[in-house]
Amino acid sequence: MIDLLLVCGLWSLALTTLLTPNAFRALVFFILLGLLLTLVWIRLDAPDIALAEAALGTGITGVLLLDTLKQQPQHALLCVHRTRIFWAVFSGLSLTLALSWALLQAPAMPIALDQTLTAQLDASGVSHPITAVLLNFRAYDTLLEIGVLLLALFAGQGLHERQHPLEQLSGAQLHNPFLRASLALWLPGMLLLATYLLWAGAHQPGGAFQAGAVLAAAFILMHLCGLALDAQVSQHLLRIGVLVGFVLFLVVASSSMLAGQTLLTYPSAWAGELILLIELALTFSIGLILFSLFTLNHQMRKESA
Amino acid sequence: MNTYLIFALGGAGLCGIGLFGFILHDDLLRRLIAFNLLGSGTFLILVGLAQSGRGGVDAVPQALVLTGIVVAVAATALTLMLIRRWTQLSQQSHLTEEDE
Repeated sequence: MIDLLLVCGLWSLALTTLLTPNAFRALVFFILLGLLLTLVWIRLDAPDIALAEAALGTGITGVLLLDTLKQQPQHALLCVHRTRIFWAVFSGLSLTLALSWALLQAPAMPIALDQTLTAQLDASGVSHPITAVLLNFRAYDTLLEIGVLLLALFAGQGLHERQHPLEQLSGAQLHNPFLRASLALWLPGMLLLATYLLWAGAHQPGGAFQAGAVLAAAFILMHLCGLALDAQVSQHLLRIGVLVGFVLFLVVASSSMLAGQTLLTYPSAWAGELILLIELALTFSIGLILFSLFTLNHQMRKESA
Repeated sequence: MNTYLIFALGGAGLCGIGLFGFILHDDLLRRLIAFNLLGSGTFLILVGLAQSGRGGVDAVPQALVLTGIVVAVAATALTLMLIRRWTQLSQQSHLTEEDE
Protein backbone atom coordinates (compact mmCIF):
# COMPACT_ATOMS: atom_id res chain seq x y z
CA MET A 1 0.00 0.00 0.00
CA ILE A 2 2.70 2.46 1.04
CA ASP A 3 4.65 1.45 -2.07
CA LEU A 4 1.72 2.27 -4.34
CA LEU A 5 1.34 5.65 -2.63
CA LEU A 6 5.04 6.38 -3.11
CA VAL A 7 4.87 5.44 -6.80
CA CYS A 8 1.78 7.62 -7.32
CA GLY A 9 3.57 10.46 -5.51
CA LEU A 10 6.62 10.04 -7.75
CA TRP A 11 4.55 10.12 -10.93
CA SER A 12 2.42 13.09 -9.93
CA LEU A 13 5.48 15.09 -8.79
CA ALA A 14 7.26 14.26 -12.07
CA LEU A 15 4.26 15.40 -14.12
CA THR A 16 3.90 18.58 -12.04
CA THR A 17 7.60 19.31 -12.52
CA LEU A 18 7.20 19.10 -16.28
CA LEU A 19 3.86 20.87 -16.65
CA THR A 20 4.17 23.79 -14.19
CA PRO A 21 4.44 27.06 -16.16
CA ASN A 22 6.75 28.71 -13.63
CA ALA A 23 10.35 27.46 -13.98
CA PHE A 24 11.28 28.13 -10.34
CA ARG A 25 8.29 26.13 -9.11
CA ALA A 26 9.28 23.32 -11.48
CA LEU A 27 12.72 23.18 -9.85
CA VAL A 28 11.24 23.08 -6.35
CA PHE A 29 9.03 20.16 -7.38
CA PHE A 30 12.08 18.45 -8.89
CA ILE A 31 13.94 18.76 -5.58
CA LEU A 32 10.87 17.40 -3.75
CA LEU A 33 10.86 14.49 -6.17
CA GLY A 34 14.47 13.79 -5.21
CA LEU A 35 13.52 13.64 -1.53
CA LEU A 36 10.67 11.25 -2.32
CA LEU A 37 13.10 9.11 -4.33
CA THR A 38 15.28 8.93 -1.22
CA LEU A 39 12.36 7.31 0.62
CA VAL A 40 11.84 4.94 -2.32
CA TRP A 41 15.46 3.81 -2.12
CA ILE A 42 15.02 3.08 1.57
CA ARG A 43 11.94 0.96 0.74
CA LEU A 44 14.12 -0.85 -1.81
CA ASP A 45 16.60 -1.73 0.99
CA ALA A 46 19.29 0.47 -0.54
CA PRO A 47 20.39 2.93 2.20
CA ASP A 48 23.65 3.69 0.34
CA ILE A 49 21.76 4.89 -2.73
CA ALA A 50 19.33 6.81 -0.49
CA LEU A 51 22.27 8.71 1.03
CA ALA A 52 23.75 9.42 -2.40
CA GLU A 53 20.37 10.47 -3.82
CA ALA A 54 19.79 12.90 -0.94
CA ALA A 55 23.30 14.39 -1.02
CA LEU A 56 24.13 14.31 -4.74
CA GLY A 57 20.98 13.79 -6.78
CA THR A 58 18.94 16.26 -4.75
CA GLY A 59 21.40 18.53 -2.91
CA ILE A 60 24.19 19.24 -5.39
CA THR A 61 22.00 18.98 -8.51
CA GLY A 62 19.42 21.26 -6.89
CA VAL A 63 22.02 23.91 -6.08
CA LEU A 64 23.42 23.78 -9.62
CA LEU A 65 19.97 24.04 -11.22
CA LEU A 66 18.78 26.88 -8.97
CA ASP A 67 21.99 28.80 -9.60
CA THR A 68 21.53 28.46 -13.37
CA LEU A 69 17.87 29.41 -13.27
CA LYS A 70 18.70 32.90 -11.99
CA GLN A 71 20.64 33.58 -15.16
CA GLN A 72 18.27 32.12 -17.74
CA PRO A 73 15.89 34.50 -19.52
CA GLN A 74 12.42 33.74 -18.18
CA HIS A 75 9.63 32.79 -20.50
CA ALA A 76 6.35 31.09 -19.84
CA LEU A 77 5.48 27.70 -21.23
CA LEU A 78 5.40 28.09 -25.00
CA CYS A 79 2.24 27.32 -26.88
CA VAL A 80 3.20 23.97 -28.27
CA HIS A 81 1.84 22.55 -31.52
CA ARG A 82 -0.85 19.96 -31.14
CA THR A 83 1.13 17.41 -33.18
CA ARG A 84 4.06 17.79 -30.79
CA ILE A 85 1.87 17.15 -27.72
CA PHE A 86 0.50 14.09 -29.48
CA TRP A 87 3.97 12.72 -30.20
CA ALA A 88 5.14 13.48 -26.66
CA VAL A 89 2.19 11.65 -25.07
CA PHE A 90 2.37 8.82 -27.59
CA SER A 91 6.09 8.11 -27.14
CA GLY A 92 5.94 8.51 -23.35
CA LEU A 93 3.05 6.05 -23.08
CA SER A 94 4.55 3.55 -25.50
CA LEU A 95 7.91 3.60 -23.69
CA THR A 96 6.15 2.98 -20.36
CA LEU A 97 4.02 0.16 -21.77
CA ALA A 98 6.96 -1.50 -23.53
CA LEU A 99 9.12 -1.31 -20.39
CA SER A 100 6.32 -2.61 -18.14
CA TRP A 101 5.65 -5.50 -20.51
CA ALA A 102 9.36 -6.34 -20.51
CA LEU A 103 9.50 -6.15 -16.70
CA LEU A 104 6.54 -8.51 -16.27
CA GLN A 105 7.98 -10.96 -18.80
CA ALA A 106 11.47 -10.91 -17.25
CA PRO A 107 13.07 -14.37 -17.26
CA ALA A 108 14.70 -15.83 -14.16
CA MET A 109 18.29 -14.73 -13.69
CA PRO A 110 20.85 -17.34 -14.67
CA ILE A 111 23.83 -15.88 -12.78
CA ALA A 112 23.74 -15.49 -9.00
CA LEU A 113 26.23 -12.67 -8.54
CA ASP A 114 25.12 -12.00 -4.98
CA GLN A 115 26.07 -15.51 -3.87
CA THR A 116 29.53 -15.14 -5.41
CA LEU A 117 29.79 -11.81 -3.62
CA THR A 118 28.86 -13.24 -0.21
CA ALA A 119 31.30 -16.09 -0.70
CA GLN A 120 34.18 -13.75 -1.58
CA LEU A 121 33.39 -10.94 0.86
CA ASP A 122 36.02 -11.98 3.41
CA ALA A 123 38.78 -11.59 0.84
CA SER A 124 37.83 -8.00 -0.02
CA GLY A 125 39.22 -6.25 3.08
CA VAL A 126 35.88 -4.60 4.01
CA SER A 127 32.69 -6.07 5.44
CA HIS A 128 30.08 -3.89 3.68
CA PRO A 129 29.16 -5.58 0.39
CA ILE A 130 28.56 -2.36 -1.59
CA THR A 131 31.93 -0.88 -0.64
CA ALA A 132 33.49 -4.24 -1.53
CA VAL A 133 31.90 -4.10 -4.99
CA LEU A 134 32.76 -0.43 -5.56
CA LEU A 135 36.37 -0.48 -4.43
CA ASN A 136 37.49 -4.05 -4.89
CA PHE A 137 35.47 -6.33 -7.16
CA ARG A 138 34.40 -3.66 -9.61
CA ALA A 139 37.03 -1.04 -8.78
CA TYR A 140 37.49 -0.41 -12.50
CA ASP A 141 34.05 1.29 -12.53
CA THR A 142 35.05 3.59 -9.70
CA LEU A 143 38.40 4.43 -11.31
CA LEU A 144 36.67 5.41 -14.55
CA GLU A 145 33.98 7.24 -12.60
CA ILE A 146 36.44 9.61 -10.97
CA GLY A 147 37.95 9.94 -14.46
CA VAL A 148 34.54 11.00 -15.82
CA LEU A 149 34.21 13.60 -13.05
CA LEU A 150 37.62 15.01 -13.97
CA LEU A 151 36.70 15.00 -17.65
CA ALA A 152 33.51 16.97 -16.94
CA LEU A 153 35.55 19.49 -14.95
CA PHE A 154 38.17 19.92 -17.70
CA ALA A 155 35.49 20.26 -20.37
CA GLY A 156 33.81 22.91 -18.22
CA GLN A 157 37.06 24.79 -17.84
CA GLY A 158 37.50 24.67 -21.60
CA LEU A 159 34.07 26.22 -22.10
CA HIS A 160 34.86 28.97 -19.72
CA GLU A 161 36.77 32.00 -20.95
CA ARG A 162 38.46 33.34 -17.89
CA GLN A 163 39.53 36.94 -17.97
CA HIS A 164 40.65 36.98 -14.35
CA PRO A 165 41.79 33.49 -13.49
CA LEU A 166 43.06 34.33 -10.03
CA GLU A 167 39.90 36.01 -8.83
CA GLN A 168 37.85 32.88 -9.26
CA LEU A 169 37.75 31.93 -5.63
CA SER A 170 37.93 35.24 -3.88
CA GLY A 171 35.41 37.89 -2.97
CA ALA A 172 32.30 37.78 -0.81
CA GLN A 173 29.32 36.38 -2.69
CA LEU A 174 26.33 36.72 -0.39
CA HIS A 175 26.07 39.38 2.28
CA ASN A 176 23.97 37.41 4.69
CA PRO A 177 24.98 37.65 8.36
CA PHE A 178 22.60 34.85 9.34
CA LEU A 179 24.20 32.44 6.86
CA ARG A 180 27.67 33.32 8.14
CA ALA A 181 26.72 32.84 11.77
CA SER A 182 24.93 29.54 11.21
CA LEU A 183 27.76 28.27 9.02
CA ALA A 184 30.10 28.66 12.00
CA LEU A 185 27.84 26.20 13.81
CA TRP A 186 27.25 23.80 10.90
CA LEU A 187 30.71 23.55 9.43
CA PRO A 188 32.33 21.43 12.17
CA GLY A 189 29.28 19.17 12.11
CA MET A 190 29.45 18.78 8.32
CA LEU A 191 33.16 17.92 8.42
CA LEU A 192 32.48 15.42 11.21
CA LEU A 193 29.60 13.91 9.21
CA ALA A 194 31.81 13.56 6.12
CA THR A 195 34.51 11.82 8.14
CA TYR A 196 31.96 9.53 9.79
CA LEU A 197 30.38 8.56 6.45
CA LEU A 198 33.82 7.75 5.07
CA TRP A 199 34.83 5.66 8.08
CA ALA A 200 31.46 3.89 8.33
CA GLY A 201 31.66 2.86 4.66
CA ALA A 202 33.90 -0.11 5.52
CA HIS A 203 31.21 -1.97 7.47
CA GLN A 204 27.84 -0.21 7.03
CA PRO A 205 26.10 2.17 4.57
CA GLY A 206 28.22 5.19 3.68
CA GLY A 207 31.40 5.69 1.72
CA ALA A 208 33.55 8.01 -0.36
CA PHE A 209 30.83 9.42 -2.63
CA GLN A 210 28.38 10.40 0.07
CA ALA A 211 31.21 11.84 2.18
CA GLY A 212 32.54 13.74 -0.85
CA ALA A 213 29.10 15.23 -1.50
CA VAL A 214 28.81 16.45 2.10
CA LEU A 215 32.31 17.93 1.83
CA ALA A 216 31.33 19.67 -1.43
CA ALA A 217 28.24 21.12 0.26
CA ALA A 218 30.45 22.50 3.05
CA PHE A 219 32.83 24.06 0.48
CA ILE A 220 29.94 25.60 -1.47
CA LEU A 221 28.48 27.18 1.68
CA MET A 222 31.91 28.55 2.57
CA HIS A 223 32.28 29.95 -0.93
CA LEU A 224 28.85 31.60 -0.78
CA CYS A 225 29.83 33.23 2.51
CA GLY A 226 32.95 34.61 0.88
CA LEU A 227 35.32 32.62 3.07
CA ALA A 228 38.38 31.80 0.98
CA LEU A 229 42.12 31.48 1.19
CA ASP A 230 44.42 33.77 -0.73
CA ALA A 231 43.37 33.36 -4.37
CA GLN A 232 46.74 32.17 -5.67
CA VAL A 233 47.23 29.62 -2.87
CA SER A 234 43.74 28.22 -3.27
CA GLN A 235 44.17 27.88 -7.05
CA HIS A 236 47.22 25.67 -6.54
CA LEU A 237 45.63 23.69 -3.72
CA LEU A 238 42.51 23.18 -5.84
CA ARG A 239 44.50 21.84 -8.80
CA ILE A 240 46.38 19.38 -6.60
CA GLY A 241 43.28 18.37 -4.64
CA VAL A 242 41.22 17.71 -7.76
CA LEU A 243 43.85 15.36 -9.16
CA VAL A 244 44.97 13.54 -6.01
CA GLY A 245 42.10 11.01 -5.91
CA PHE A 246 42.49 9.82 -9.48
CA VAL A 247 46.31 9.77 -9.39
CA LEU A 248 46.50 7.87 -6.10
CA PHE A 249 43.89 5.36 -7.27
CA LEU A 250 45.78 4.85 -10.54
CA VAL A 251 49.10 4.38 -8.72
CA VAL A 252 47.64 1.79 -6.33
CA ALA A 253 45.79 0.10 -9.20
CA SER A 254 48.82 -0.21 -11.45
CA SER A 255 51.39 -1.01 -8.75
CA SER A 256 50.09 -4.59 -8.69
CA MET A 257 51.23 -4.93 -12.30
CA LEU A 258 54.86 -4.62 -11.11
CA ALA A 259 54.38 -7.88 -9.25
CA GLY A 260 53.08 -9.49 -12.43
CA GLN A 261 49.42 -9.43 -11.46
CA THR A 262 46.56 -7.82 -13.37
CA LEU A 263 45.43 -4.23 -12.97
CA LEU A 264 43.59 -3.46 -9.73
CA THR A 265 44.62 -6.47 -7.67
CA TYR A 266 45.25 -5.52 -4.06
CA PRO A 267 47.64 -7.58 -1.92
CA SER A 268 45.12 -9.36 0.28
CA ALA A 269 46.93 -8.60 3.56
CA TRP A 270 46.61 -4.83 3.08
CA ALA A 271 43.35 -4.67 1.12
CA GLY A 272 41.41 -2.94 3.92
CA GLU A 273 44.08 -0.27 4.51
CA LEU A 274 44.56 0.39 0.79
CA ILE A 275 40.80 0.78 0.29
CA LEU A 276 40.61 3.25 3.17
CA LEU A 277 43.53 5.24 1.72
CA ILE A 278 41.93 5.36 -1.74
CA GLU A 279 38.58 6.34 -0.24
CA LEU A 280 40.18 9.15 1.73
CA ALA A 281 41.79 10.62 -1.40
CA LEU A 282 38.59 10.03 -3.40
CA THR A 283 36.44 11.84 -0.82
CA PHE A 284 38.71 14.85 -0.90
CA SER A 285 38.86 14.92 -4.70
CA ILE A 286 35.13 14.37 -5.20
CA GLY A 287 34.37 17.20 -2.78
CA LEU A 288 36.72 19.55 -4.62
CA ILE A 289 35.58 18.51 -8.12
CA LEU A 290 31.89 19.04 -7.29
CA PHE A 291 32.80 22.36 -5.69
CA SER A 292 34.79 23.43 -8.77
CA LEU A 293 31.91 22.48 -11.05
CA PHE A 294 29.71 24.75 -8.94
CA THR A 295 32.14 27.69 -8.93
CA LEU A 296 32.67 27.39 -12.70
CA ASN A 297 28.91 27.57 -13.18
CA HIS A 298 28.61 30.40 -10.70
CA GLN A 299 31.42 32.36 -12.36
CA MET A 300 29.74 32.18 -15.77
CA ARG A 301 26.73 33.98 -14.37
CA LYS A 302 28.85 36.79 -13.02
CA GLU A 303 30.45 37.33 -16.41
CA SER A 304 27.21 37.48 -18.31
CA ALA A 305 25.61 39.80 -15.76
CA MET B 1 3.69 -8.66 -6.90
CA ASN B 2 6.46 -7.70 -4.47
CA THR B 3 7.77 -4.28 -3.38
CA TYR B 4 10.76 -4.47 -5.72
CA LEU B 5 8.64 -5.10 -8.82
CA ILE B 6 6.23 -2.25 -7.91
CA PHE B 7 9.14 0.20 -7.85
CA ALA B 8 10.57 -1.24 -11.06
CA LEU B 9 7.20 -0.52 -12.71
CA GLY B 10 7.23 2.92 -11.08
CA GLY B 11 10.63 3.44 -12.71
CA ALA B 12 9.16 2.45 -16.08
CA GLY B 13 6.49 5.13 -15.60
CA LEU B 14 9.13 7.68 -14.66
CA CYS B 15 11.05 6.84 -17.87
CA GLY B 16 7.91 7.43 -19.92
CA ILE B 17 7.21 10.75 -18.16
CA GLY B 18 10.83 11.81 -18.74
CA LEU B 19 10.62 11.06 -22.47
CA PHE B 20 7.27 12.89 -22.64
CA GLY B 21 8.82 16.01 -21.07
CA PHE B 22 11.90 15.80 -23.25
CA ILE B 23 9.81 15.90 -26.42
CA LEU B 24 7.27 18.44 -25.10
CA HIS B 25 9.63 21.22 -24.01
CA ASP B 26 11.78 23.63 -26.00
CA ASP B 27 13.42 25.18 -22.98
CA LEU B 28 16.85 23.61 -22.42
CA LEU B 29 16.64 23.66 -18.61
CA ARG B 30 13.31 21.83 -18.70
CA ARG B 31 14.76 19.29 -21.09
CA LEU B 32 17.64 18.69 -18.68
CA ILE B 33 15.16 18.08 -15.85
CA ALA B 34 13.21 15.65 -18.05
CA PHE B 35 16.44 13.85 -18.88
CA ASN B 36 17.25 13.53 -15.17
CA LEU B 37 13.79 12.01 -14.59
CA LEU B 38 14.54 9.46 -17.33
CA GLY B 39 17.80 8.65 -15.55
CA SER B 40 16.13 8.18 -12.15
CA GLY B 41 13.59 5.87 -13.77
CA THR B 42 16.39 3.77 -15.26
CA PHE B 43 18.06 3.45 -11.84
CA LEU B 44 14.77 2.31 -10.27
CA ILE B 45 14.26 -0.32 -12.98
CA LEU B 46 17.84 -1.58 -12.60
CA VAL B 47 17.68 -2.14 -8.85
CA GLY B 48 13.99 -3.10 -8.69
CA LEU B 49 14.22 -5.72 -11.43
CA ALA B 50 17.42 -7.28 -10.08
CA GLN B 51 16.06 -7.53 -6.55
CA SER B 52 12.63 -8.82 -7.57
CA GLY B 53 14.31 -11.62 -9.55
CA ARG B 54 16.50 -12.43 -6.56
CA GLY B 55 13.88 -11.86 -3.86
CA GLY B 56 16.34 -9.95 -1.66
CA VAL B 57 19.04 -7.31 -1.52
CA ASP B 58 21.55 -7.45 -4.37
CA ALA B 59 24.67 -5.34 -3.83
CA VAL B 60 26.00 -5.38 -7.41
CA PRO B 61 23.20 -3.37 -9.12
CA GLN B 62 23.10 -1.08 -6.08
CA ALA B 63 26.79 -0.29 -6.52
CA LEU B 64 26.25 0.29 -10.25
CA VAL B 65 23.43 2.75 -9.50
CA LEU B 66 25.62 4.54 -6.95
CA THR B 67 28.24 5.05 -9.68
CA GLY B 68 25.48 6.11 -12.06
CA ILE B 69 24.17 8.83 -9.73
CA VAL B 70 27.62 10.41 -9.44
CA VAL B 71 28.13 10.33 -13.21
CA ALA B 72 24.63 11.80 -13.72
CA VAL B 73 25.50 14.73 -11.45
CA ALA B 74 28.74 15.36 -13.36
CA ALA B 75 26.86 15.23 -16.68
CA THR B 76 24.20 17.61 -15.35
CA ALA B 77 26.86 20.10 -14.26
CA LEU B 78 28.54 19.96 -17.67
CA THR B 79 25.21 20.35 -19.47
CA LEU B 80 24.36 23.38 -17.33
CA MET B 81 27.64 24.98 -18.33
CA LEU B 82 26.87 24.30 -22.02
CA ILE B 83 23.38 25.80 -21.55
CA ARG B 84 24.84 28.91 -19.88
CA ARG B 85 27.39 29.37 -22.64
CA TRP B 86 24.68 28.97 -25.27
CA THR B 87 22.49 31.53 -23.51
CA GLN B 88 25.43 33.96 -23.24
CA LEU B 89 26.15 33.67 -26.95
CA SER B 90 22.64 33.56 -28.37
CA GLN B 91 20.50 35.26 -25.67
CA GLN B 92 18.05 32.38 -25.97
CA SER B 93 17.14 29.54 -23.66
CA HIS B 94 16.18 27.12 -26.42
CA LEU B 95 17.81 25.86 -29.59
CA THR B 96 17.11 27.90 -32.70
CA GLU B 97 16.90 25.26 -35.41
CA GLU B 98 13.40 24.28 -34.38
CA ASP B 99 11.55 27.59 -34.74
CA GLU B 100 10.85 28.53 -38.29
